[in-house]
Amino acid sequence: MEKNFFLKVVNVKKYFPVSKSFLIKSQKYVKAVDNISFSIRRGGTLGIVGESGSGKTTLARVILRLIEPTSGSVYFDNKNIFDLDKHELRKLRPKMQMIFQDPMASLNPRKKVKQILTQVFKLHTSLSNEEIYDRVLDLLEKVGLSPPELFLDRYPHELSGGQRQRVCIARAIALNPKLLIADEPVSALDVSVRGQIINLLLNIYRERGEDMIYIIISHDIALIKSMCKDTLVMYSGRMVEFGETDSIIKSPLHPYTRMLISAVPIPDPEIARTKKRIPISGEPPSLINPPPGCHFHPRCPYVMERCKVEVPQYFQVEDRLVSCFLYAQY
Amino acid sequence: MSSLIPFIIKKLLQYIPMIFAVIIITFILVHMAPGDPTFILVGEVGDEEFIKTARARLGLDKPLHERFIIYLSNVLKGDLGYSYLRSEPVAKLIVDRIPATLLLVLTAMFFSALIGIMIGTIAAARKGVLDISLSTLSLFGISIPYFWLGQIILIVFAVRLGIFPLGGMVTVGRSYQGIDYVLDVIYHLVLPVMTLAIFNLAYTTKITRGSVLEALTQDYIVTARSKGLPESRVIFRHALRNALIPVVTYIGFNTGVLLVGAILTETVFAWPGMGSLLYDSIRLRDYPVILGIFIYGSIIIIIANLIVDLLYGLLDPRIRVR
Amino acid sequence: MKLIEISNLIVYYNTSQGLVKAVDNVSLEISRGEALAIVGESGSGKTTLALSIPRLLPDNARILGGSIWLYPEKVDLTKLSEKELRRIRGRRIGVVFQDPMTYLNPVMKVGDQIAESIVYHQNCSLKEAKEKVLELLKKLKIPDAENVASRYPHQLSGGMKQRVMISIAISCNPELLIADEPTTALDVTVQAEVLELLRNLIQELKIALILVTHDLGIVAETCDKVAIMYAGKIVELADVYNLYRDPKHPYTVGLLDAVPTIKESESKISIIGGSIPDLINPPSGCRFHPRCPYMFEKCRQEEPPLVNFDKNRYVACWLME
Repeated sequence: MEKNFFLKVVNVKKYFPVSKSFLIKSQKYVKAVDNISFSIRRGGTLGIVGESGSGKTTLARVILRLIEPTSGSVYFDNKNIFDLDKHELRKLRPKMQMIFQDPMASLNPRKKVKQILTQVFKLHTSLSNEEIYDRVLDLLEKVGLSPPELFLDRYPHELSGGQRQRVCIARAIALNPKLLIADEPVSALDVSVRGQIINLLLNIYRERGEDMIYIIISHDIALIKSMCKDTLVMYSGRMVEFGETDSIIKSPLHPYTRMLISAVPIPDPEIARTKKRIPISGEPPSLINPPPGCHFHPRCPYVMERCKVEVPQYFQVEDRLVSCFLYAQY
Repeated sequence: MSSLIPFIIKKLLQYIPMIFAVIIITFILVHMAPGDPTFILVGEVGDEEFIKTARARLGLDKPLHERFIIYLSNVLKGDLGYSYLRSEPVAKLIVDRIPATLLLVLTAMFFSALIGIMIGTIAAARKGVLDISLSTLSLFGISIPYFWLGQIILIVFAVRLGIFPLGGMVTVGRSYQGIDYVLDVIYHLVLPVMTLAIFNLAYTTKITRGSVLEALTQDYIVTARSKGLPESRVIFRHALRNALIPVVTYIGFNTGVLLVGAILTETVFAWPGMGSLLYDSIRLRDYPVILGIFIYGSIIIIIANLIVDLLYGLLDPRIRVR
Repeated sequence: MKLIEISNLIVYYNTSQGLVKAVDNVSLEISRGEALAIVGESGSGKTTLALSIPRLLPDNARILGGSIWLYPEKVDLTKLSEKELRRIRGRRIGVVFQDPMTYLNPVMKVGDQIAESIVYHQNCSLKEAKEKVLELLKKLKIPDAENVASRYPHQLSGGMKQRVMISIAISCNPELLIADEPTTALDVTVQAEVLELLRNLIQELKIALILVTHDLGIVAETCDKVAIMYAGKIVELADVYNLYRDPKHPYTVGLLDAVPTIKESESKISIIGGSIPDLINPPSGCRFHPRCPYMFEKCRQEEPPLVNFDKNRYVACWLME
């Protein structure tokens, strides 16, 4: 792996065909991910925020090529991931890992913790059994499952939700990945357990963050604020805003981002009851029949005529990218 | 509703391979069964030459695969052949008998569905003794064979009590007209329908009970209760309405079982339908008629399935054809 | 003016593994027009507590002790017959459930689902009820009300479905509205809309609200009083400003800090260790003691009572002695 590696996503699209009738193959598509580009350097942390149906999970899966893209390219380790053949992709897999929302669903219920973790090393390394055993103990300790011996012989259903997510994290970091994508890593967990997992992920990043790229996908911008330097806001398959997390939260540019941030409840009654609210109307559009032009225009308080027909390109506003005609003069 | 026609066509296309499979399998089975229609026709002790010409006339001298191809091409032309024994076109023989069978099957289906759904719902709503006794009764109903049940019903109601006729569809020797004719048919219909319906009734009860119990655990039932609705409305309007979907599926898909039951019932009660025709034809190795009945039978089952598919949309707006 | 007074309520669930002590000796009051939040994690008993008021509990739930008084007539809801209770459900107590997808009947038009309770409680014809439904939908600012009323739930968006649930709950002008995680299944922007609607409604119609939730964020915007539940007990009860400014119970403190926020000030996420206890064999003494950073010997042995120590503040913790 090159020293100054990066992840570069260029015009990535993922369209799912919608079959309408059995005889005529319809030309309708769900544009789950529509023309997304961004890049992150080594050591970068990116949050992808969006509501359900915004395409954020599909984007993550396409980046890792867990599902095949419709078009575009993803450069990682100086290779276009979309051009790799099966064998090359398999060689790269240990470098790119994903943590899923539901730890129960992503762990094999018939395998013990020991087997789940040992398997990773057996598949991708040539370590001896003793070495693997030591590594597994180290890993468990690292993700806060200690004493590790206590957890080796447990099955996933014998663990609590938080412990299961720890096992998933252990599996993901086992081979020192260079790219780690966590998809809603705490959404399925109880509130008091969420903090534990967030802190674990932060600690892992602090320990080896300079040598990897972190992507967190969430509907919760507060979670992203606590973990990511940069944020990409998605709406209805498209990227609407991209920039530094803190400045996006402080002064959101895109009308959707403003609405989103204004909608996040703040656990402080004094702020919550005095803050200026942005009126919210409508709901995200259906992906099969999205509105023409800017997908947000039916809900946008600043809608102009051209928003209804043209898809806005990206405008650079200071260090940020915004897809909105309000910023056309910049 | 504009896509209703393509929907039906799509379904029918799906069934074409099934009809072919029915033809192939029954053709092979029928011809593999021991016995030879020629002997039944000319007697076992005819002279050899005569038997040979008779076989040639029936087309039985050709090898099996050739006979199959001839048969299949005729079927595709819409020609089901002639009965060996009755010298009538098979199609006419069957079509003449269909109304009687349909009358029997549909009446049995209607009453078993109506009563079965009612009893099943009550059993689900009332836990305890009533539920247990109804469930046990339905288990009995499911386990009793048609022919045995038919004979018992015949002995009790027709022979001993003498309140219903022994068999047939109309009283022999009377030529009733109008309403009298209808009443006479209904009078003859009671016992065979009872025989045929009991199994279906029991099974519908069982399925309805399970389905209503399942529906009662759903979240929308809690919502219905939170409105302060009377329990009867919660059960009939909310639970049963949702529970009907699997029940209707069962009733539709069970048409085949009911047709088989009709064969046995018709034989016991000398009901002049397809069932007794099939029974006679099997006994006498009347191949074309047997095959014809199977083809018609499968078409009836296909139509029943199609009706179920359309009913689905009526019952469940989520899969309604738009 | 008191509306509901719960005293020493005990609700257990019968399961194959044993008795789940979901609500264990809980007392709580709610006044007319007041908005109370019951906050807790999964398995804290918050939903069981709220739904035992209209007695909409699963079949295996048993109310083993205590009473729930409904004022002004002071009847004990736990003692009423099903028939008597039906006149209260829907008419005086409305409920909004968590997931509008599963809590609405999939095969009934939403207009009919709303009209149903009006027909039953207000003795009017279906036609009159349907007119009232349209008024109600308009009051909830649902555009194109006629069209929405004639739809089935699956044809509506999540936010619209939850608005339909709310109109069912308030269709007969109840005195109490119980909302069980009403926005958990919704997106953030839709959640904000639905909460805003809920707030306006209870103010306008002077309905008391019990909001059951795990999310302290939405409580801060919506409620006057907060009860924090942990493992079947109320551990802290306070008015909303005091609770957030100065949480007393170690669990409340942990809960407030366990979740990241977008507040200006950088807040470090603190941790509550361990996991949620098993309610079949809950820990002895204070049920929070195995996870409590300030735990001492007494906590292990004796259960702390919920004591009043300041105006409108109750805490169940030995540290407060």
